[in-house]
Amino acid sequence: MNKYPERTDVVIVGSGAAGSLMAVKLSKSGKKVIILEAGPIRKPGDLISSQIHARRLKWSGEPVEETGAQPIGNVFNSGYGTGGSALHHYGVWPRLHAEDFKVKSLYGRALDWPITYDDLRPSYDQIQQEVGISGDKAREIWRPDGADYPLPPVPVFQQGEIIAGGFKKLGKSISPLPLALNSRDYKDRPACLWDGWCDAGCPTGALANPLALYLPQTEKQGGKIIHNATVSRILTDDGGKKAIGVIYHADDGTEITQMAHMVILAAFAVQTPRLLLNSADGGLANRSGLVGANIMSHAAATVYGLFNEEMEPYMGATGGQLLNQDSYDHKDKRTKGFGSYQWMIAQAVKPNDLLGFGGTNPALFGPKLTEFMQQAAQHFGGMTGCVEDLPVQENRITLSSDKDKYGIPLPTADHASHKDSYALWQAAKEEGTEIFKAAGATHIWNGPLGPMHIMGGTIMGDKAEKSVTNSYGQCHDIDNLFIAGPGLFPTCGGVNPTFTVHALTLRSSKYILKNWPAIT
Amino acid sequence: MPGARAAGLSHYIDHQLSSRDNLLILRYLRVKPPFDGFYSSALTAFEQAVRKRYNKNPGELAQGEMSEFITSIMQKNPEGWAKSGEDAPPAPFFYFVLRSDAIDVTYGTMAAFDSLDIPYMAHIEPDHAWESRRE
Ligand SMILES: Cc1cc2nc3c(=O)[nH]c(=O)nc-3n(C[C@H](O)[C@H](O)[C@H](O)COP(=O)(O)OP(=O)(O)OC[C@H]3O[C@@H](n4cnc5c(N)ncnc54)[C@H](O)[C@@H]3O)c2cc1C
Ligand code: SF4
Repeated sequence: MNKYPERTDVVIVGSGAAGSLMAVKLSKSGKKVIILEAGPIRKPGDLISSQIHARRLKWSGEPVEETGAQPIGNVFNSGYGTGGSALHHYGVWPRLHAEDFKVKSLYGRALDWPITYDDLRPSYDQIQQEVGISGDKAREIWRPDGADYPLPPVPVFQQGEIIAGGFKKLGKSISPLPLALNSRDYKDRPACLWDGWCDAGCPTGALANPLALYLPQTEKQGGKIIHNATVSRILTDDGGKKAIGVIYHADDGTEITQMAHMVILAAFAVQTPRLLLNSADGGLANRSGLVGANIMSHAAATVYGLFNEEMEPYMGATGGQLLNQDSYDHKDKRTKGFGSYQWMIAQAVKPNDLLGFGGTNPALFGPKLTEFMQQAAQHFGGMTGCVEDLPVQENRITLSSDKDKYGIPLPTADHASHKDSYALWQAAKEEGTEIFKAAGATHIWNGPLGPMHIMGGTIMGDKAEKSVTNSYGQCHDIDNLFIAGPGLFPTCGGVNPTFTVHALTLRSSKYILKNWPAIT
Repeated sequence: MPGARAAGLSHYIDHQLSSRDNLLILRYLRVKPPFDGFYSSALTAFEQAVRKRYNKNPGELAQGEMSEFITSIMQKNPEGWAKSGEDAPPAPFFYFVLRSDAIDVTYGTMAAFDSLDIPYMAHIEPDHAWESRRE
């Protein structure tokens, strides 16, 4: 059965970080906005504090086929339902550095962004004030310029203190980790309780997720979110030059055509290219042939240790307590490889799940595992390096020959780290091990390369032949088709992506509003 | 793993496999659902490889033999594994998954946190450690 509801101003695909921010800004200016969200509705009361129940928030749409030497870990790294991945993200929100925007010009490799840090700086500052980031600009010596954080830094617990000792001993710097969560009450949201349940989704509103921030406001402003609505195709006019709406499938299989003056794809870095590729022969907005290309995922360099001291590893936020970015600027000055990385230090950790301390040392089983669990519960410490993944054109999303229940080809995600990014990951592990030695760990071990965050796939750029969109996420080939999210990143730096996603989306929303008549 | 049987490992896996809202860690690990075949083929391969090596069923192994066998499957498929279950997942991967499941049921509950002296500090307590509220 087909249905044709009334035409709207804007249809946004995806209710996560980018979709929710776009929706709130456009609806505030009076645009009629409909968000189509593939996953189910989630409310704060659904966010049960349990690492097993937390899995419900992960991607559970149609499967993504993953290939390549370092697969992107789509299910762990993506969300599904209200708020997308951002609903259970950890709120580590550093800025990209000025260098990250011009890797090609500075080093003759990878890619440049079509904008500089200075172009994005006002948006970082505005978002930071709206959302509330806890941090300490003066101590974060590596941070590019911009406004002070609106909230004081997050507290440091035992685990942070002890690991910080290792950094200090080796003459390295540390600062509070900038976190998009409240170190004290901010606006109408409460302070964090430092219980480490962020991965299960923060139900109190302390962490800046879409449920706490932009989605309720969007609805108040008349915006509408339709859940269990999986978009399968973008529709264009006969000439293929203008987007006119989307087709989506409701849970009961009904196919619905939602017409709109503007279409914004915010379905994250795997599903957005999949939609474009499925929407026209050879892919929509794909003059460059780059839809799906340059998919990236930070390499997580994990360092674990047991310490004699009581570490209270369960205290704090899941994202961590402290930051080090000594190995960030001057991407060509690393001991191995090329690029930037940062340490996120002293994450609050639970016993079970992929990031739980029980999973960190798979060689242990039987009574040795029992002994380890008892010891680790009080004496475990950890930190994670977020290591830059250089863009490689062959790392890409393509369409598989297998189809989903609606007959749409599944996406295949092929990813292998650039050899210099892999080398950098090794360098980070080695440095981290030295730091843990200096901090006094009695046992130190590392995890395998874990994929963290997904970016690229619909990169922005100046030239239509070399990128999919301009710096506002506007597709070069179709003026009223926009993309929002980390898929736009031409390079990913060594920092978590979501602050930058917000800054870019804010900038795009202003551009859209300013140019609305010309664009639509 | 000590405690996993008492904590209901097999019930946990069965429950999740039959649930609409499967919460097994396998979801993260690039295995296409449905997951029933993963466990059944791996268990068949496990039994056959144990028989090949010790001429016994897994339940009859002495503790030392079981440890020796588990150590042998951490890195590669033991003899008899590939042939016995052609569709079976690689033995080291099965070990990783089952070990993670065992940790989930043994250490992922409020009672287990308590026994490890970890404050649970729930915002919203689970009604049950791993059964879905909505079923
Ligand atoms: C466990 C975890 C921890 C993280 N921690 C951090 C962190 O500390 N700091 C940080 O910066 N980043 C972090 N991230 C990354 C962050 O969540 C993402 O960068 C961010 O959410 C991306 O925003 P987005 O709007 O592009 O995608 P999402 O927030 O994932 O939203 C996309 C939405 O689109 C929907 N969708 C997909 N396909 C369709 C379709 N066909 N039709 C309709 N809807 C569709 C999805 O269901 C989803 O809800 C973390 C991610 C995870 C998973
Ligand atoms: S630690 Fe803080 S941000 Fe995380 S879930 Fe608890 S209250 Fe929310």
